[in-house]
Amino acid sequence: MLRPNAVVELVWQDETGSTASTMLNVTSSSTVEDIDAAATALASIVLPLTGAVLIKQRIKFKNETVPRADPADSTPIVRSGVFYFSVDPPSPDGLITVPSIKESVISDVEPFSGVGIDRDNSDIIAFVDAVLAAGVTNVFGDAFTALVAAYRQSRV
Amino acid sequence: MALVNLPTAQLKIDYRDASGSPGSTVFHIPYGTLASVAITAADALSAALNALSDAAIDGYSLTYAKTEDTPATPTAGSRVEEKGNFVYRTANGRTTRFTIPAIVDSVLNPSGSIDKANALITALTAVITDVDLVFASADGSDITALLEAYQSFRGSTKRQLPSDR
Repeated sequence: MLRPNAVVELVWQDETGSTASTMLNVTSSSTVEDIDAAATALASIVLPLTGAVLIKQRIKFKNETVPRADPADSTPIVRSGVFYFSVDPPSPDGLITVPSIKESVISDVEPFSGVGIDRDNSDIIAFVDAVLAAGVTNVFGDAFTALVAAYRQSRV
Repeated sequence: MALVNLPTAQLKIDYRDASGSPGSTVFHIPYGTLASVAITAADALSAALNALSDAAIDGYSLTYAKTEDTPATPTAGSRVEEKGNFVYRTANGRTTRFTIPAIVDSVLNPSGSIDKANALITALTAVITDVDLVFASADGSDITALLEAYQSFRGSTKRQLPSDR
């Protein structure tokens, strides 16, 4: 459920390099463009009220699962599925990590048995389709074009 | 000197495993994506991830960030531990508050309260309560009037202590 409020955060830095924020709620039905305009107006008013300087602005929407669900199994959070997507060259490719990856999507076919993720699994196909349909990109804004590899790893 | 957006907005899906340990999946989407479109995509991605993970999905956050490309120089002696606290009334009879770090001395009364009649403070209240702008309380209620304003101090962290002490 989307929270009724989004949050505008203005991050300030003082003479020592320490940072702190001014955080205000805004209605989450507003557009990013409108919130950005309001944040700009606010920042211009706050600026003469502080000896610190503005270094960053964030607009954050939050969604909460209500009621909270129980985990489906005891798979630890560190047992992750890593999905390696390509983008059009020459940009670096991108990774998506899924914590507590289900055992049911792990390949049992050699040579990747127990490590590789079964790319023919229907849930994996649905996930990849959702990623590509959503227009997910790498950090540089280059859209993912295809799943290249997927495997399990454990972070310690 | 300007706030410049990153190439992408960040969608972070939050999980919790059976031991209570938290985890996350981070996606990037083009910064120009409308929030309503991104939220629809986030719902679809959450549903797809729910089928892949044994952890419970507790929710997600969608963040659009901008960074100042050439920050100005802070005022000498400014400290973010010194806060201006602003408490506002809301249309549903509750209150909402925010702080301004390194509040300037020129708006303070000798008692440590903030001079509500100061032109800078009345301008701030005008922006916060402007119905054409989008500011609200956490429950979405409109902000109507300034109730309290005062100076306070937060304890310095070890990293904030002077390096030449």
